[in-house]
Amino acid sequence: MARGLKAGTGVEVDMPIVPFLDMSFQILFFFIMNYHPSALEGQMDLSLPAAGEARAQTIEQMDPNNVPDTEIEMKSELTVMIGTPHDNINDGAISQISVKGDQGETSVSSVEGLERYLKSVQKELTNKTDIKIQADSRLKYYFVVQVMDACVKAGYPNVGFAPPPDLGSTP
Amino acid sequence: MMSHAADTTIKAEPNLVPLLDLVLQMLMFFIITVNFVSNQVNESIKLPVAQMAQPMKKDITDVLYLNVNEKGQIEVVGREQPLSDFGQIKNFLRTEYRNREILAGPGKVNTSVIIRADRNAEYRLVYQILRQCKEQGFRKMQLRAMTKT
Repeated sequence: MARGLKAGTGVEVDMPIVPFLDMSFQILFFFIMNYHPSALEGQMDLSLPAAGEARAQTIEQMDPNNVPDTEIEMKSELTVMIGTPHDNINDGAISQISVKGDQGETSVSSVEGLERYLKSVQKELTNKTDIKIQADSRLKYYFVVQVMDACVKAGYPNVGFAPPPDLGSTP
Repeated sequence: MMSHAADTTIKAEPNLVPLLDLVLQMLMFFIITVNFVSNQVNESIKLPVAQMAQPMKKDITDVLYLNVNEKGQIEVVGREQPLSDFGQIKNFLRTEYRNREILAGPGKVNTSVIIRADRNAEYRLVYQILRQCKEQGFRKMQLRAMTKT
């Protein structure tokens, strides 16, 4: 163990930097690889109507019949209605899907069927981009996103949400 | 200029200390960044799957994350208990909006509300949170979903 010692010149201390650097590189590599913990996460933009008119400046300008601009629905010709059973077994799953439009209400069998139907009726619509989803209040969010996904795939990029028809009746 | 004696060998050692300094600084940066991101994004929330989900835009910096658990409660960074009732949620969103309005100016809040809701949350809870966001003045909203299972 004579390394670092020279006769008559004092003690020369050598830090072993190379293994330290190797270890640092390995840890750095680990953090670089894990830099994006949510890399598989994606976003779906939600369409909201444009902001409403300015509020009344004076009491005389107030209109009690004016509906406040707090709705999160789009003005669309089609509304996808999703039902869920209330049997305590399949609660939260999809039991029924129907599409309500000017022509009436049409039931579809599945989410894939919904996508096909929406594609088939799109050319007859005036507003070809907007669509609304109205789901039962107890439907799981997972299924709502599935239906939203089907709407976007069918060519309706602006998806809005309507209040659940049974909102207030459920605890 | 260094002078070399005839009987001594030339010792050429690269100076690794600056390289080590640099590596340690980068290491520090990545450690801090990873911790910061995981605070905002609650990993315990299981997001739904959507094939049409777009890759996240990195140019949006003014964001408000709302992590909604399966009970419909909002988990907020820095609070032990999640916001459970709508009064609490309303107050939280109102405070957030007012704070941002003070910084940006009246009517100039450009915050994107990013909703990370659990796949098992009920639709009415997510809907009511969306509605509250809009009632408080937020205009830009995004839903988060996983692009792959």
